[in-house]
Amino acid sequence: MGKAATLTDKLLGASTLVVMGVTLYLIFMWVPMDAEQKDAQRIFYFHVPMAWVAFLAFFGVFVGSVVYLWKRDVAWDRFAYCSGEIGVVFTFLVLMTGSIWAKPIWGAWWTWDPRLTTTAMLLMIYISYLLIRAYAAQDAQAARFGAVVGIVGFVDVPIVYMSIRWWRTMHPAPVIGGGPDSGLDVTMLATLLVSVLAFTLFYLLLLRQRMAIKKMEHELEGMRYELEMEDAEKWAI
Amino acid sequence: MKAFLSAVAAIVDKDLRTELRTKEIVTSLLVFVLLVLFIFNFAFEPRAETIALVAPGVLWVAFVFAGMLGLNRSFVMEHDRGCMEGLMLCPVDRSAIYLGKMVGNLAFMLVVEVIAFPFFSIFFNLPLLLPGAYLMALLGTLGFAGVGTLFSAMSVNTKAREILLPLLLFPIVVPVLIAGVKATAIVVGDTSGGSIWPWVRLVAAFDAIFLIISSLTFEFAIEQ
Amino acid sequence: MGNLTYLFMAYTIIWVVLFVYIAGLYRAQRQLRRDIDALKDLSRAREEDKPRIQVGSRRFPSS
Repeated sequence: MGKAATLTDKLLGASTLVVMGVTLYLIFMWVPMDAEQKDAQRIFYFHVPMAWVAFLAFFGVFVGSVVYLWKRDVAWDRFAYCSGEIGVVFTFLVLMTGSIWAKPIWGAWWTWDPRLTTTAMLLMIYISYLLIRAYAAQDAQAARFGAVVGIVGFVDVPIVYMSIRWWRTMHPAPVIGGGPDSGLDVTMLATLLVSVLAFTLFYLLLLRQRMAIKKMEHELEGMRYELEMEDAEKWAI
Repeated sequence: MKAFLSAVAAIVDKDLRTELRTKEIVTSLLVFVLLVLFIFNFAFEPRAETIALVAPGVLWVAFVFAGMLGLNRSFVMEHDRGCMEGLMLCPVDRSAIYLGKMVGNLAFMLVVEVIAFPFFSIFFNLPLLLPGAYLMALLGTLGFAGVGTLFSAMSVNTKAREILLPLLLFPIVVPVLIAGVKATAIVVGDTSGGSIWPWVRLVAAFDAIFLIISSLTFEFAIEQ
Repeated sequence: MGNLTYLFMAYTIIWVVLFVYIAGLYRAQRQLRRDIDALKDLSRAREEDKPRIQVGSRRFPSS
């Protein structure tokens, strides 16, 4: 991507904006109020799609990591890294909104319920993914280390979930009122699906922009290096 | 296969020999584990009725923290004296280097745990023999050393070094920690628990999965 | 209606966090463009200068 945004970017940006607008309309104007949870239930229409995007992003990290180690193409590493960064932002938002939703419904900001706790661990794993990349000595090393953590971390997630679920079910179960999945009616499901679409488009948009920036950083490094080499040659004479 | 095993054995032998000469790692880890047992006693003041709840957590926190220190030493030593290059020049598969280092780390941690267990029993007034807890400690430490060796090889090469290893390793070994604590609690008499076998199976699966992944990806962690 | 407050909180946090993230991306992008342009100018200037900077002229600047 050069200076001007490409057609793909423009189309993607426009469609994200439109679908996101429709989603907001559906959530706040169209979908009927939940009888039990009242307004707090509307958090659901953002909370779940953001969780979906976070998962999609971390799956992207996994795929990007595996293909990078296999083919050694920087583009795949760029994809993995940018996907991971966006995933961390969305996981953080999922936890925040989940916590705010839990307060009026479950009566507490936080419960040690398996999904909540696993999500928190997920956030930790991918923050450490970003950290090891930030602290690596050079770009190629950051890519390799990141890929290893990206693979190990992704494989670990189901095991973490299982262990936390057993840990909790062997204890008095936390008080969880009727989950959002119980009796979701058609209008609610439709709103949710549109919102999932909106957030998926949003993810793709962010990903493309983030990858473009990463690529520019890479090119800038290259240009700096070339100029330095020129200098070195000149003075070597 | 035979050449592979003898390469692994050679690396283990090298680490054990170094350790036998200095006794650096085992001594410091052991003192550290005992200190943690003491400090948590001060922090929680466990009484007779709460011991089954507190003791397993204390034990596993001590093991995990001590293991972290040992893992850090493992590659800092190789790195600082330029031994890593020597290891990488060896005409053996990279997974042999991984397994060699992993077995060495595992051995140090197990020695520390074997000595620490009687002290644990004495301090917390528990039976002297706890076979179920030993099995869990063995499997848990295997998984911990398995992922830990891989991550330690990477973190030692970064700018943050020792700080990075716990950040990487703790979230990944959460299943081991949970299983270890729960199974030990069942062994020392937490009645709400049930059987330790689901936990044993969980950690065994964790070990198998991550030993395979780690030996496959280790070459990327040490590549220069 | 206490619930409305929570809804409001949730949506505010979402948009604030996303806004901060996107603003960060935007700033990084602008900074990069500026750097790249500066470097391009520099290398263009050097290309033009090239014939003048010769081994001889540098060795004997006074001549």
